[in-house]
Amino acid sequence: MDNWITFWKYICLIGFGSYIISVLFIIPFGARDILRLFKELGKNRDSKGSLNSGKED
Amino acid sequence: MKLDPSSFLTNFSNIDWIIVSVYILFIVTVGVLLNRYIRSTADYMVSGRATGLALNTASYTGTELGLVTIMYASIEGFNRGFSYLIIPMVALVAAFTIGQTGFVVSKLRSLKLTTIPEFFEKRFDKKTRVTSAIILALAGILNMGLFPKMGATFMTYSTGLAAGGDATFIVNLVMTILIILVVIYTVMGGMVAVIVCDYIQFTVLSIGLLVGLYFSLTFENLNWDNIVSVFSDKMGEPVFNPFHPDSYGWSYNIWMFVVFFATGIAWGPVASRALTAKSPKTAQRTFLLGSPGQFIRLAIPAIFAFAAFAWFSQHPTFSGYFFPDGIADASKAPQAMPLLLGKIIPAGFIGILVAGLLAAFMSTHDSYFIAWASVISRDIISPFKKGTISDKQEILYARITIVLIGLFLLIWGLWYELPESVWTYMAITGNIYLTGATAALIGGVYWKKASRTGAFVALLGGIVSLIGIIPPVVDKISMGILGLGNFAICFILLVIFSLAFPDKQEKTG
Repeated sequence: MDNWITFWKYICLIGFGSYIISVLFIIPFGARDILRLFKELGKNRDSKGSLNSGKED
Repeated sequence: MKLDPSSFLTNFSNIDWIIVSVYILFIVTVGVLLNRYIRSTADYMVSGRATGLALNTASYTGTELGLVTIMYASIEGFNRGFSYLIIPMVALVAAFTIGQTGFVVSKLRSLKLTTIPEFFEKRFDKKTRVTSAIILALAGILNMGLFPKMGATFMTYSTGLAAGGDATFIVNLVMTILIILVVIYTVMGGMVAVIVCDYIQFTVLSIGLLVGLYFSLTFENLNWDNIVSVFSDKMGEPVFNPFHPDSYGWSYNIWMFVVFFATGIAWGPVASRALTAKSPKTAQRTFLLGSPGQFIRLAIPAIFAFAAFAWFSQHPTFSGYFFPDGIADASKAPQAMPLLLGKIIPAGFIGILVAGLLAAFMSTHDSYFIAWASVISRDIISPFKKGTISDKQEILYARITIVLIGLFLLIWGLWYELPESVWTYMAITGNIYLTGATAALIGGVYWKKASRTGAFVALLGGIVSLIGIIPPVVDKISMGILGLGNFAICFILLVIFSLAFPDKQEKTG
């Protein structure tokens, strides 16, 4: 049982640690991706004009 | 044992209400404003297939990290103890495996699909597409039937609203308000709003969860060693060893791996993150970068529940309520975690946490709404319509569908009582689609001999999952064996019927 307790302790440390690292990447780069997404969708809007432009794909 | 309603008062104060209200207003406004970017079905349903890695990962994590997830993880944590941590571990490994290999998801993205059932028409035929869409939509909407009530239960107990008297009425009122808010911003902004709001929610939620974790492991006598010691005294080895006969056991853990893996590649709201990514490589990496999120979305709520177990079992007022006769009362488990957080986290901080968890509620609902509405409008209604349907019409169908799903959830939530094992309910309803679709998807992508008859029969094979809700069967056969058996049946059906009824002319995928 003691081995399991130690095991869970380290699993939590590794799991939480890796999540914090991923958050530090995702938050700033996610903001950049939002700006790029708006730019891309803006381009599409200019080229497509209106919703009635027909079916995509 | 009944408690005086005032016992349910928490630290939630006016400042916390301001934080939560400002947050809700902000999110709904963002959702409504993003309507200006919607110009095509692809914009509305898969955000123009232009989402970068970090944003897509935030949305993937936000979708999977729902308030219902937090609630059922905490219920399992409260009832099963540390053994439950095997499930988050399995979820991490499943996401990591998809992220490393790109299994199925890279292929789906490279086909430029808008929904998963579209693949079945490209690879098989229209009948398979419509069948998969009907099963997916039914299973999916039924699956999210408990989401609003679980979320409202959390809000009611963590904010202290339960102290106001009739807790059932308050839960239903909170549920109604939350559903209306999510419907408004999802209807207006579509997938663009979902992705952007998911990002905001990911940020708020990450901060909120870490705040909650800090207080859960530092408040008064709450610390890792004390929590371990309380569980050890009350429940012994099964609470730490997930393979113990009185715990989950091997078959359940293997089934969980298969379920998480299948969810990643075939479950609409999750697998659609492969479709929103800007490239097949981004789709694959989303699962890799998102794998730690798969761990924490289940592990942190479980730790909240461990803390609740330890704290309430030693509390003079609450020990009799949560532990009548010294044994944990499973039916009270949904109240334990939100009540603990409301009691131990100080004013101001609790507002941030609740805003974060409300974010979890909204980010899951919006993704599920858009996923099921897209499937219904594009894969069920459109194929039966004569002539070409404009993007405007298709989006209108999706918007009407979202409102109807919202109405269904409201009625279902008001009528249906929460079962003791929410996770079992979700696993069974999810399996109805997942088992057959996973077989048909994997076969369709990687096996040239997979035929339309084989795929069709495999999809119908998922209905076997309904056996899982028949009590005598559940009592005699373990859930793990039942779940794994259902996946095996669908794969066997695919192989047998594909070989027996091959396609006359091979279609390429």
